[in-house]
Amino acid sequence: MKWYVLRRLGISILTLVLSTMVIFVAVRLLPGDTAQVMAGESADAGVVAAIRAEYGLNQPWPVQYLQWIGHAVRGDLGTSAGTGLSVAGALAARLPVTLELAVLAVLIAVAIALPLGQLAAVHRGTARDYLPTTGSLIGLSVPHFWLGLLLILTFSVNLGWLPASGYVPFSQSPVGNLSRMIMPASVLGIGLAAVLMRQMRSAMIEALGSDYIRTARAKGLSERVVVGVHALRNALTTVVTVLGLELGALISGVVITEQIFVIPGLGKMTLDSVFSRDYTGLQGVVLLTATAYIVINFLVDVTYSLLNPRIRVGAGAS
Amino acid sequence: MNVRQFLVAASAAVLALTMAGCAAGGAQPATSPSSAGAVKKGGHLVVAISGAPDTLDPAFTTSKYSTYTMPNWCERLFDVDAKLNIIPQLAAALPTISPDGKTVTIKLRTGIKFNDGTAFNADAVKVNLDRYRTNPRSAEAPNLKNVIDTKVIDQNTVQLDLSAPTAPLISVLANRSGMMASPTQLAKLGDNFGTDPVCVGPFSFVSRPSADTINLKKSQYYYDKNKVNLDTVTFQVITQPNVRATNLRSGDIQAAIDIAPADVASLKSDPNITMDDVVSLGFQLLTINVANSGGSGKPPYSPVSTPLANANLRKAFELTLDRNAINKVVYGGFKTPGCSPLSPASPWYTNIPCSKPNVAQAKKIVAASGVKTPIPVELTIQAANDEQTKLGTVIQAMAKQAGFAVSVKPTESAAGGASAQAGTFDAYMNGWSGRIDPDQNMSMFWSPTSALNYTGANYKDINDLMAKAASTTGDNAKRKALYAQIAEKMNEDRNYIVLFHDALMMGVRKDVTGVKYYSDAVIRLKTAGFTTGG
Amino acid sequence: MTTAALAVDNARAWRARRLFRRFASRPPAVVGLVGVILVVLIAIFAPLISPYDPAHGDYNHVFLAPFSAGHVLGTDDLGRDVLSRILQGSRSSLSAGLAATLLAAVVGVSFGLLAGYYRGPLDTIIMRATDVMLAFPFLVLAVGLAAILGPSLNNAILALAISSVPGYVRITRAEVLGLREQDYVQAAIVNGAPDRVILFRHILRNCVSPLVVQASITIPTMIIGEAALSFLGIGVQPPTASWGIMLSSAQGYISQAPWYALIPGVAIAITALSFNLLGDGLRDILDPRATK
Repeated sequence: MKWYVLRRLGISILTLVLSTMVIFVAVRLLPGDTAQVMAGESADAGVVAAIRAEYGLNQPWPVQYLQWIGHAVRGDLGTSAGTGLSVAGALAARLPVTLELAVLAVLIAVAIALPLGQLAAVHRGTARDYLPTTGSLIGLSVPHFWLGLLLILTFSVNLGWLPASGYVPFSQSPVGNLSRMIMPASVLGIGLAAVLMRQMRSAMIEALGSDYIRTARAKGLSERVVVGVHALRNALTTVVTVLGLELGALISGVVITEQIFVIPGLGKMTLDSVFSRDYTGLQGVVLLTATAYIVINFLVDVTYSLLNPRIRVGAGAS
Repeated sequence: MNVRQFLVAASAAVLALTMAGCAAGGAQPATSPSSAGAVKKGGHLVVAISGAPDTLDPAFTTSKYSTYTMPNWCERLFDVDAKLNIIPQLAAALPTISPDGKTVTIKLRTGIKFNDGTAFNADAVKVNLDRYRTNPRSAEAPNLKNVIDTKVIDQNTVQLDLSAPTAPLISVLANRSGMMASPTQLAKLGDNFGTDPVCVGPFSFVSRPSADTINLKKSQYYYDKNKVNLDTVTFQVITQPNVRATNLRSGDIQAAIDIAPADVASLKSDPNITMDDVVSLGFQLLTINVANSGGSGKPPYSPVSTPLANANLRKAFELTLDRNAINKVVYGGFKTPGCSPLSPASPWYTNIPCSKPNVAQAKKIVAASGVKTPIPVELTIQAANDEQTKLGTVIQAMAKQAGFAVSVKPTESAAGGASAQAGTFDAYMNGWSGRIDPDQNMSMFWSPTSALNYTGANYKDINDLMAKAASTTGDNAKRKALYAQIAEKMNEDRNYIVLFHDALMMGVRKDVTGVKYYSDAVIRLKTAGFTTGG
Repeated sequence: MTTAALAVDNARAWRARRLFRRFASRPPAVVGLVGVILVVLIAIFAPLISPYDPAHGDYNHVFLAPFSAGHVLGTDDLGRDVLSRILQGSRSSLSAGLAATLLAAVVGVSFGLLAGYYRGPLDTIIMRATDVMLAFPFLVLAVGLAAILGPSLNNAILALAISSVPGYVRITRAEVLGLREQDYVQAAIVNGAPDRVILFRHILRNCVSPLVVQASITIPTMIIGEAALSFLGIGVQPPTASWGIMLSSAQGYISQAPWYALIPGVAIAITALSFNLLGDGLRDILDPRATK
């Protein structure tokens, strides 16, 4: 177990280092010079050169890379090229927003998927199976940015119940915060629930056919206890697995959802910094998402191997 | 109908008439109407703007959004009134100019303090002007290039020595170069001044937690603070127009600029909202690559090999464009069609006739040119921008009638700018937010050495006229006539086809009063406040 | 033809019939298949069945409501016929879904085969590369590609394909690792069969089922992905119609013409749902684990 965790940790760190290189190079492959964008279209060459010198953009790439990494490990991600604001500060301001959105989405997904997945598995082959199963397929088939528009149309434009967009910090107004977060979190949560429900269903079906359950039934335990106990254990592993697998999709989903609902989170920062050629800002936000992805996957793998020791052999190399 | 309603309706009618007779019309500066109740002190105003300023350092910023917002905490030596006449702000009076036009003397207001308590005086002005002129990163240096020296005559008088008479100088000092930063703060922050700017202004900068939010509070040092009503102000960036409109209706924000034509009807019918619209100084121009063979601003230029480098085909292309139809279809009739870089809102505007759409004549010119149809034209527009997409689609359909096969190439803006500078484009949709001085709406596109001269324009007659007009100080009528002449010449060359003058549309909640919004698009909040009645 | 070959052919035919019967006994899968066939037919014959030129706008008749005279689904912000644009949009959607899946599968399967079969350093390099790809946010990749290469359907397909390559690499590699230890593969290796033969004849052929299942998941995801990229303005470019572009322009008129936001969304959802139903059916009959 210790070796597995260490090996997995080593792989994660290697992936992270490789990712930083890819991020660094990818950002510089974008056409349009960051110094030129900062100086403005009408700027003459002298101003552009001055900016390039001030931000170290005239240095060779390896030097720029090492400087960036050297500062990054100390928590200094530089200053945004456009606004001159600290990138780490901007990330710190936006991370809680996106985190809240993601956590709410996962809660909504779990709240929908667990009971329905269980219901479908227990009543396999009946209407109580087909309805949620088809529902989850529809959930998979509906583009979430469209779902977002539909929710805005229904709850903001027609009914006027919820604000269409924007963000208010929870500390400032809990009601204002939740009333703005509920729609975007639902959009993300419904997509996630569709995946989660299907995984729950097959995991439950597998568990219900296992020897353990047969023994439990033979002992005369009530169906509720049998299903309940197993449901919990399965739910845990399944949620963990699906989260690991769907994290990438969730991150992309956040970008487009934040765009539709105008939420000042990391997703919006990502798009804004691409368009303004803000190298330092873009590097910072991509580094943060990549790190989050790698760390969460590491934790998922380790948790999973604790919950289910057989996995270690198979997952070790991948 | 009570008196107020009548007045609103009447002014709306006047406005509509003015818009209809766009050519004759001038600016209709908007001040949100005084409501039933009196203005009360205090309150927090949230204003939505449509894009994020870059840095808040007046020396480095190039974003129009900085220009629109910064004067609230960074007043300038000069300002403009509702009719865009230049008036003194931190200066005590309009400058005196020596007979040879080479010495400009500016008297300053006395007893003024920056928002950190530092005294405002001639030394402070010199520090700022020298910084704008000499900082290697300064975006203002080109605007002040004729200033060879700034002298402190006494504590209330500054003298600028010029290399040549420079007519646009005063309007430059009514823009970013006229913003006076506290020397104390400049000494402390240097090139990072933009992270915590301190100037003279009705409000002082509090924080910018992210690029999208700027927080201000009422200044304790402001010389005119009795007139300031609001306690705090937030400028909030909301890029999507429909979201600005929705938030304005819900009351989450109290004012929003750049209301999209699609949202105007629903906002106008909302009893809680007033719509202000004024003709902007800005304009939309179709930039055609005529001779940008090796990069803009780097003459000599030599003609490029694309079809529209042919002046006759450019004429035919323009003849297919129906400016009124474009305005109606794409912009709901809210823009002001026109073909001059000078806006009807500007005191410098002269009505020059635009060529009337004439497809039959366009076809004849195309046939006479002998160029095989369909003639391919690649039109670069801004990607992911709904209005630009519509505009591109409509131009495509119009030009097709005379045999032009326009392919619309949406390009993400930084990449589009790079390709425009490099000259790797046929036609490029560009916009200019507009300046007060006529020279600053023309020379950057036509001067052979300007980086914005994407088309490779270099016409001796225009260059000479432009230089003459820019050095004509003291006789505004003569200068105005020169610009009319230049605008007509430009329309013969068609390196740029101006399509329309922008409309500035601001929505304000009815319980807010005193927001001043003129054709220069600056959102002036000095006297803004909430009414007691609402 | 030898008797042995005939027997093999017979066995194959029998298996195919059995699979078909199992497929046909699943109504949702059949519905999905019919839906997919319909969408494909619509995409092929779109120019023939469109009532109007999808790019032609009638500026005097913008935002006609659905069921207006001559326009069953109404007209859009430029007065173009919405039905014609929906029909034309099916082409972008389908071509993106199929091309991106094919591209991802070809690239992903190739690298998966190499990684799983040769293992060692090559495996390590390939797997670390997929890790990095997975950690890199897809939308940043898509926006970046659009900035570098210009926004277009092809570049959107490229971005979509790249994003789903890692899935194919991992699945193929896992299958190969298992198959490689099978007796018949080991026997072929011992007998000195060339790698090419072993990889394609013995291994790839036996990976087909999981790959078909994976493809059935990928296609609808790619269709939605194309719509999302076009929605953001970095996919299909006007005046070509795309369901994503239609949604993006509908967003600005949501209070003025709400139905305009409904129609393209329904088209995307129906298409993706058809593929998902079909994919579910295929998974049921092809993936032994799913039928346990």
